[in-house]
Amino acid sequence: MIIKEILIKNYQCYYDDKRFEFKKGSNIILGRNGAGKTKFFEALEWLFSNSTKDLDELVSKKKLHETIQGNSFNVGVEIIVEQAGLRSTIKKYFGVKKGVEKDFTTTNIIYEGIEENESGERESVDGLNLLNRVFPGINRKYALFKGEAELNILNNEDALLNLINMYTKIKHFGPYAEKGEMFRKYAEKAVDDATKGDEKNNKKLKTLENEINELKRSIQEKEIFLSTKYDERTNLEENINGVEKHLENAEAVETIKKRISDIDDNVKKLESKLDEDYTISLFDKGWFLIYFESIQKAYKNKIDALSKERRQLQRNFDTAEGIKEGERRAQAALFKDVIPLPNGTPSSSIMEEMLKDQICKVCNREALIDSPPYNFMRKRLDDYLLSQKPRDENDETISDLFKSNYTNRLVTLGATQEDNLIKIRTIAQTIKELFEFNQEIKLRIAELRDKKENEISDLENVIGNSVLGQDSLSHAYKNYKGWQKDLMAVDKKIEDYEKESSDLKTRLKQKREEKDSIDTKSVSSFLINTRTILRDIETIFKETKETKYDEFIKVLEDKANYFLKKINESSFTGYIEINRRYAGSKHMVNVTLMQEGERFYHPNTSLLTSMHLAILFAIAQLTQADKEESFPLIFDAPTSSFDPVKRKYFFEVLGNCNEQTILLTKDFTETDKTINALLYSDEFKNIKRDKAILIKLEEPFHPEILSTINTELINL
Amino acid sequence: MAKEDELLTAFLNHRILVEKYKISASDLPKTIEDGMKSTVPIIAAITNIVKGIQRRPIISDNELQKQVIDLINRKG
Repeated sequence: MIIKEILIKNYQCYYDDKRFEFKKGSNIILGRNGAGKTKFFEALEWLFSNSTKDLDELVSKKKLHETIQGNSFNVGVEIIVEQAGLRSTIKKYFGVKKGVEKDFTTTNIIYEGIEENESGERESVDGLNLLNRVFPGINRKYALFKGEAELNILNNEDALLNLINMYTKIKHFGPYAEKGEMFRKYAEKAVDDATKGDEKNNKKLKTLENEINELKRSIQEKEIFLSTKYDERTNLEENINGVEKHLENAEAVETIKKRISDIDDNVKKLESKLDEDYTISLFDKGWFLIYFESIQKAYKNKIDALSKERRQLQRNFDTAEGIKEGERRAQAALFKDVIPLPNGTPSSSIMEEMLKDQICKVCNREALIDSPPYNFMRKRLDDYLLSQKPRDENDETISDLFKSNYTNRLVTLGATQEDNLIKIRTIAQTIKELFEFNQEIKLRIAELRDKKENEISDLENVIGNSVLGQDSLSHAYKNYKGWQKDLMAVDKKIEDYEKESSDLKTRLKQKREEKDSIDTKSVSSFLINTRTILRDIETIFKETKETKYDEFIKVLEDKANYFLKKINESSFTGYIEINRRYAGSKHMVNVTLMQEGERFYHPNTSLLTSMHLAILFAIAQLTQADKEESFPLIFDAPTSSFDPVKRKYFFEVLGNCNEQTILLTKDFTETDKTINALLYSDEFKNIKRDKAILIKLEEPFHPEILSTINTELINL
Repeated sequence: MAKEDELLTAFLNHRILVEKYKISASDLPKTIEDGMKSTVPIIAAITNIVKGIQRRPIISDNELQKQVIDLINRKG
């Protein structure tokens, strides 16, 4: 099938009817960004899809603007294809009725089909059915490629097998493998039924069957586990490889960050040692006393002098007081003419006893009451007692010279201060040492800060030299370490599973042989022979299918590598390796870009794109040989990452491609500033193509007003 | 080469026929027609299956199976 024409009508930037005519081979649509290339591609996607949404968005604003209120027009896409020489037309469109100002309404989507029969007559048919007949959905899926990302048609594990099954003769081998298995199972059952006829065999056989089934189940389980682990390993290797290129920087970042962190810790420690609470020390530690010794000395001199003077005054005072007291007492004695109880007289108690007993015990004579001796003793005693009485306030008292002994306290204080002088004398040294210590710490902190500045500068350099930022590098480093660990664990698991799987297979083989020996002994050769041959037939069918797959994959790999080399002529390419593996009951195909026997991780976009294109061309070429029908390949900007050299080779490959190709590209266009006209480059003149169309926005247009936008076509 | 002949040839190229059944490569039939004439049960059976699956009208699995078993044992 080839696309002959595509008509886009009032669809977004395509105002009125825009008809693209295509040739069988290579068709190139050139246009700068915003000219309508992607809208062309999307119009095709819209035609091929069942989408009925957002019709309002599809309406040409220019057409809407120019339509008079109440009038209608159609919006849609029409494709004319040719298949086996017969033309089919498929239209998808909807009506638009203009309302007030910018308002409008849309009708439902309508599909129309016109089919040409062998006699050249044309008849109307259901458009959607016709589309699905001439260009089936599964083929459409592998026909349109938007951008570079969509070129990876093998983006899932089933994709290649699907393509092979769809487009190659290999699909014919599939039913034989199934039939072979079915017949073999029938033969197995016939033998089992015959064997079970014997009671003894029956029991044994059942046990063996259970064991065999269990072993098969375990093997399948192990293979699924293994497959998962292989994928896990591939992913981990890919991740590790992806990070490895950043690892040097990541490690450098980690090392520098560690050094910065150590510096910060050291600074923190040093800062905690700094003692700069000078105000507190001034009072709490008595630093303000640093010059106190001279003051204390002056104080002490003054106090000593004062104390001396005080003592002198006190002495003088005491002397004067003593004289006064002596005089007073002498005066009193003279006045009273007695000396109260002079020496040698009995004590007052003896005197009282003598008066009580009325006898003088001094002279041992009687002294009766009221007798002169008695009265004498009485008077002497009374005088004495009177003399011993404290002076009352009215008496003349001896006053103190100083009411308080402050001088003594000042002296004591001076002495205490003198004791503290030892400490005070160390204050200056303490302050000096502390200042020196703090200075030393500050110097070390300053040195560390300088060092940190250098480290930060190194860090910035490392980050500047990396495509990743600091956080990403840190993550990369941590991930790398984690992935390495995971990889070791996965490898160990794979080793274990492989060993377990191998052991299980050995046991399964033994059990099968055991079962076969029971069958052989107890069942007729007719059944055994049938089973043996059907087992072999199943093996032949299955293995032939596998062989065909492998042969196809090998040829595909060779072809893909041929195209890869062609597109990347004179550049490094590596090589494509396509592998098939079996996971449980499922085949999986892996496509890998290799170099020198190792996986080439993370190729640049350009190489990756060319790899996808190479596979795509290889599949198209290989499958074309097998299939009866071919379908166009439509690319929107597939070569954005290609340089001119690669682009040249790509178009060379495209020009030699047997499929019809339609390629939309912004390449080869340039503007002649003198006449402000869009041209195509000289390079394009040498590009092999069958048809080229230049699309551009009709001049003049307003860059901010959609209703002035119209894409026009120029056939080159 | 007809599709069924291609398929038959692909199956008959399997090593098991040479290694286990000791059939010389030159004795292997190239067409369905030749295969149907084979006196080797496994070749006759394979040929019959290829024919049964490719040709129209389609025959049932049971019928095909019966034919295959007969071929294996008739000629075996």
